[in-house]
Order: sequence, then structure tokens, then C-alpha cells
Amino acid sequence: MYSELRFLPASRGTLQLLRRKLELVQRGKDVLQMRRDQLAKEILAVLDELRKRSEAESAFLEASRRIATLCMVRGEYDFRSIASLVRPPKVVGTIVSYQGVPVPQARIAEEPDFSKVADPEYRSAMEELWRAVKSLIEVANMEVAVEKISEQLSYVNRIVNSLEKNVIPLLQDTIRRVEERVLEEELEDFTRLKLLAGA
Amino acid sequence: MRAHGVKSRLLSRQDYEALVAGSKRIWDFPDYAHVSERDSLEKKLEKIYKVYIDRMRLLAKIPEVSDFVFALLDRLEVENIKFHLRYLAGYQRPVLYYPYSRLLGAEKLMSLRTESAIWEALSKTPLRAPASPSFKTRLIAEREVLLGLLYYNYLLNTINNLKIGKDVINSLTELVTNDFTASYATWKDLLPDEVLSSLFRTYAPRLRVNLKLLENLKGTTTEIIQEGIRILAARARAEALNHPLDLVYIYALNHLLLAEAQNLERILVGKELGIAEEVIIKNLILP
Repeated sequence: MYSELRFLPASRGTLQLLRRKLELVQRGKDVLQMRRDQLAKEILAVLDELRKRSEAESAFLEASRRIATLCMVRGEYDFRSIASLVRPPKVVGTIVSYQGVPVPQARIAEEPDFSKVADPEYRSAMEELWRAVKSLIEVANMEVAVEKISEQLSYVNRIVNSLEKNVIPLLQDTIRRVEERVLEEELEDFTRLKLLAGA
Repeated sequence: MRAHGVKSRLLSRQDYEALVAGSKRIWDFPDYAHVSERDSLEKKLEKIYKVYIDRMRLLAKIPEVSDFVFALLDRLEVENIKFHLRYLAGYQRPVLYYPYSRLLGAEKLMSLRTESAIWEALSKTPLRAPASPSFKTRLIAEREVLLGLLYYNYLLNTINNLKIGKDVINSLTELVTNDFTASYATWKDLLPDEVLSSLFRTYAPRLRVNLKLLENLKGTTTEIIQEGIRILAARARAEALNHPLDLVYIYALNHLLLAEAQNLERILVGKELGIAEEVIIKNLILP
């Protein structure tokens, strides 16, 4: 990408151009480093939420076990007809921005309606299951967020590293080389002028 | 004799334990040989209840007891009507129906698309439902309780119309009263007292609750149902010993046959859902 730097004409104009480029790249690197820090901070904040995963999973297992036992004891016929009284929840997919990173998230657009289930045992088991499912959805959202932010973080990291390790040293080398050439040429011009003046 | 023959084919405690442990499969038993491993859960359940229905139908071939046996079987259709009411009141998600119909007929029931059409149709059946019942709430449970009351009225009327001895009628009435009490114990949690008593006053003034039994039925709905079934089966079995050759025996047998179908349903559903063996065994009504 920067191989053309080798063939740049050695002039004050080139030098000015290269210095501006180096300044821009360094500023870009600083901005990206700040962004990297922000993303890392965001991941740390989300990671706290992820610690709830095992809690959410065990709550879900417990609620599933309770509802499965209820289904077994009351029978599939009764269970299905009771389940038909429940308005199912509506879960929609949406894109949420985390520090500018687009993250797909599941959002509960409509809660399930258990109001028609009169049996207190069925109702509490179903409500418990729904609460557990809701926690799992939250955890899943956070997991996707961490995944997407991490992808972005590693991308930013790669660019910062590339700027730090390749682009900036290369630009600095080129500037040094062009500076030397310009200095040499100026010295040659000066000597030539002196000789001409002497003659 | 036919009833005793049917009873001899009931599964034993060891059979249930073998089924739960997986050392025997349901199709290993001659009466359930037509159940296939490839059948879906719904199909298997349908075949299991079909065995119960066929066994009861075999008893219904005896003209003197036919009305009574069908009245006992009609409980499945009442359950189907309940399921259909829930289906209509709910969100039209697929439900299962028992493979039995007589009072309304399965096709007729499925064709009814409104609650009022169901009551209208039921008013022309032996359940003698009010064509347009007045309800105090919009709760589906109130409709279900009314359906239950109508069924118990119908069962008691059928018993009272049988040409049998008074002592048998009294024994059967007591058993049905116990059954009704077990249902009442679950209804108490579903509806406010004033709604329940209004339904009783209006539609079932003759039905009585066995207060002694009611005291023993406490806990969650499932606990009440389980305990109710256990007590009723034990009482029916005890009564059947005193009446080995009459309708009380058939009533007790119906309990046992239905318990077998329900046990098999629990085993199949329990295994499908991966429930622990000891939990399945604990929830069976074992002989």
C-alpha cells in the first residue's frame, strides 16, 4: 500500500505532504485507541450482565422442570387446552447501537397474556417459565452484544497495530529519507551557486 | 363376568415399573400391541384412550348397564367440550381431543365456532344445558364448572333412572358425590365463592358435597386431583368388594380403567419430557 512512498520525488512539497500525512495518521491512531478503550469499557460493563447467565439458566431449568411435571401429571390433553388460553408473547428482532456498533437484539414487543388461565397452579408455573425465558433473552442479547463489540474491538486493534507497527514507521522513514535527499540537493545547489559565483 | 374379565387384563404395579424403567414397552402388552414405536405422541395417546373406550364399550353391550356405562364414558366428551370452549375462548392454538363422542359428536363439536352455539347444541343433549346460561363473570372457569355440574346432574339422573336395587343406587350416588366433591375441591380455587354458589343454586341444587372428604382435599390443584383420584379409587374398590356383581363394580372398574389410561399417558409424556423415573412413579395411580 505504501510502496509508492519509495518513488516519491525528493522535494520540499513532498516533505510537507508526508508530514501532513504522518500527522493525520497519528491523529487517526489516537482516535482509534480512544475508541478501543471505549469498546473495552463497554465490554466490561456488559460482562457484568453476563454473570447472570448461570442464574438465568438454572431458573429456566427449574421452571421447565416444574411445567414438565405439571404437563405429565395433568395430562397432555388438559395441558394443551390450558396452553391454548395463553396469548403467546411477541418477540421481534431489532438493531441496537452499542458505542456505534450495530448489534442485533431480541426485544419483547408483547408480553404473553395469562389472564384467561384461572388455575393458580398452571398460572404460576407459566409465569415462572416466562420470567425465566425473559432473563434468558436478556442474557442472549448481552452475549450477542459482547460478540459484536469484541469483533469490532479486534478490528480496531488490528488497525491500531498496523498503524503503530507499519504505517507510522514507514512514513517516518520516508520523511527521514526525503529530508536527507532534500538537504543533499540543497547543499549541492549551494555548492554549485558558490562555484558559479567564484568563477 | 365381562367386567371381571376386563379387570383381569389391567396392568399391574410391576408392569408400570417395567414401563418406567424401560425394560418393557407399551406394545409388549397384548391390549396395546397396536401402539407403534413410530407413532407420534398424540397418536399413541389416542390409541391408549381408545383401549379404555373399547373396554368400556364392551361392557356397554350389556343392555341393562348400557346407559350407565355410556354416562361414565361421556365424561371424556364433556372434557372434549371443555377443551373446545377453551380453544374458542383462547388463541386458537391446536388442542387434543379424546377419541370419543356420543352426545354431540366430534364433527358437530368442531363445527361449533361460538360459545353460545355450544350451549345451544348442548341443550338438546342429555346434559340438558341451559340454551343461554347466565354467567356472572367472563371467566372460562365459570363455563367449565357449569359443564361439570351438568355432567354430575346427568350422571346422577342416569343412576336414578336405572332399574336396580335401592342399595346399589345409594352406593353409586355416594360414590358420585365423592367424585363431585373432589371436583368441587379444585373448583374452589378457580372461582370466587359467590360465583360458585350462584352456579350451584341455579343449575345443580340437588348436588351435595361430602364435607368429610372435602376436609382431606387440600393443597395445590394437582395435589387435590391426585389425592382425589387415590381416595376415590380406594373407596370404589372397597365398595366393589361389597357389590361384586352389580353396577358398583362397573363404576369401580371405570376408575381403574381410566387410571390405567392416565398412568400410561403420564409415563409416555414423562419419558418424552425427560422426567426422572422416581417422579413418574410417584405420580402414578398404582393398583
